[in-house]
Amino acid sequence: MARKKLDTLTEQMYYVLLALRQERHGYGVMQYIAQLTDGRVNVGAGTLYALLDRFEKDGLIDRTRTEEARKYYCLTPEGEHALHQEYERLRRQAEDMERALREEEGL
Amino acid sequence: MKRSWSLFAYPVMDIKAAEAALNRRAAVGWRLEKVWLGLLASFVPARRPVQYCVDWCDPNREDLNYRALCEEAGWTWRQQTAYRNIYEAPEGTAPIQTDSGLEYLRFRKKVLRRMVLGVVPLACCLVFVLLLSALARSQTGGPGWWEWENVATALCRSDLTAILLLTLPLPALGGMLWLGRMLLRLIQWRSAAREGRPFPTPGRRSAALASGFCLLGWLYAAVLLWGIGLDLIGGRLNLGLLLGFALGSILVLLRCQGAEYQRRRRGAAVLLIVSLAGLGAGVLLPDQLTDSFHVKGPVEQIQMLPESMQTYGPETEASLVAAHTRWWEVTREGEDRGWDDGRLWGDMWTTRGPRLANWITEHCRAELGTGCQTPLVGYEEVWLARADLGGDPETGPKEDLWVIRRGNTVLRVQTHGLEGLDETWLEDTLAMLEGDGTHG
Repeated sequence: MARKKLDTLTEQMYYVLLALRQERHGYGVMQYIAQLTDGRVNVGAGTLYALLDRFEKDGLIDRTRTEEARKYYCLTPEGEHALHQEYERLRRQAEDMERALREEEGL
Repeated sequence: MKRSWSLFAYPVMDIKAAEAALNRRAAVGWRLEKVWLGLLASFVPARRPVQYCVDWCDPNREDLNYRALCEEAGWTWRQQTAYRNIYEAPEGTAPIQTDSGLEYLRFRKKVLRRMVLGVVPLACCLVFVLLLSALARSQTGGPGWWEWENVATALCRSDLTAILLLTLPLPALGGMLWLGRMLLRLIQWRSAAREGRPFPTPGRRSAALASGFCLLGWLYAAVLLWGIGLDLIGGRLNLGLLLGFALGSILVLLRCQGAEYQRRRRGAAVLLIVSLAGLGAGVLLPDQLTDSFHVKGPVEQIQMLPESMQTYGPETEASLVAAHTRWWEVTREGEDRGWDDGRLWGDMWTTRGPRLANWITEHCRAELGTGCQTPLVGYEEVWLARADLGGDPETGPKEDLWVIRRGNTVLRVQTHGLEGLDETWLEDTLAMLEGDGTHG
């Protein structure tokens, strides 16, 4: 579910922001995510549309151009920051898990 | 071509049941051809396996960019029904909504808000009219619109009003069922959105039941449309309202030019045609066209006082359920004496069935007072309340209130400042009510 404040991103939000580190249009974002995750993560067209709208309002992405009725978007510095924050959070979570597993093995 | 049909009258909140029904058909090789009037769906054999998604939309303003993105993702827009868009895609395409939280937000933004925006102004208008009515009543002391005589008049004045008043519990019951189901879905969706689960699909039996109720709602709407049609032909719909609809429709047609407003323009065009047809029908078509549907009063001409100097009326209003004739007469002496002296006021209601006649009789009898509830000696269903207005008790002026019921006809006659109406008058009146058809 979309959070009121984007302090924690959902998996789909995370991948949409990740895809927009390069300029892409909506369908391009969907294709990139499916390719990157080997089809594990699918962002529906309706969900993506709502996320793009929300990210644009929150200033995380910018609409760069419109070509053949396709809107292209790209991450803003603020969006880059949000993505990195989330990455750091996930990385720390993964590190914590690894540490816990190591401790269990050492016992 | 081979074709299959099924009922498709799912209420707006049963979006997932509608989607599941389409996908069940698709799973056995059928492809949706069209949804007719939001009631029936026709299917044709599918050349390749397909799947369906039913998604929320704002019927007043279609988001074409949204549709374009769905199209790119493989979902072809097939049709719009009420607040829902039906999309079709090859089997295995990723669903349109993959986040129940955002789906719930879309429902609130595109559907719930639009519904509230539609209902609140209507509710405000209704409250305003009720307040005005109460204010007018407190200022003039006259009867409120809810009092029996005004209700009876309304029943005779308009076919639409008659149908609405006589079936009032039905839309109220339907509305409560609809609201209850909507609240249930809201609770379910809210919980699913919080927990990140997909929206639940209602059970097949529950969905079929809701669909059946919707079908009944459509049938009821058809009956209301019939009432509106009769009122239009009879020129009995409010001209100001029709003009307002026509002007509003023209405004929408002029202002909403974009492709996203296609559905709104279509609605405005239909409303404009209906309003203009209503305005034209009232003027061009003869009222007799509706006569065969309406209740007929027992008399066309009436004069009860032989010495009447003037008779005003009779004016008859008739609808599908009842007819009301009213008139008043004034004697030569009454004309000279003053406003309410030497006068007779008559009201006659004829109803299609005995229940309505019973209801009118009860209210008329209540006006007689508790002391005059016994029928006149020697007559059935004839009641009289008489008061002397001074002078000789035999020949002096009196105030009479007669209530006479014959079959489904109720006659109420009030006199003031006349000698009491005698037995000859009563015999003539009863003969008229029992089929003679004339009086005086």
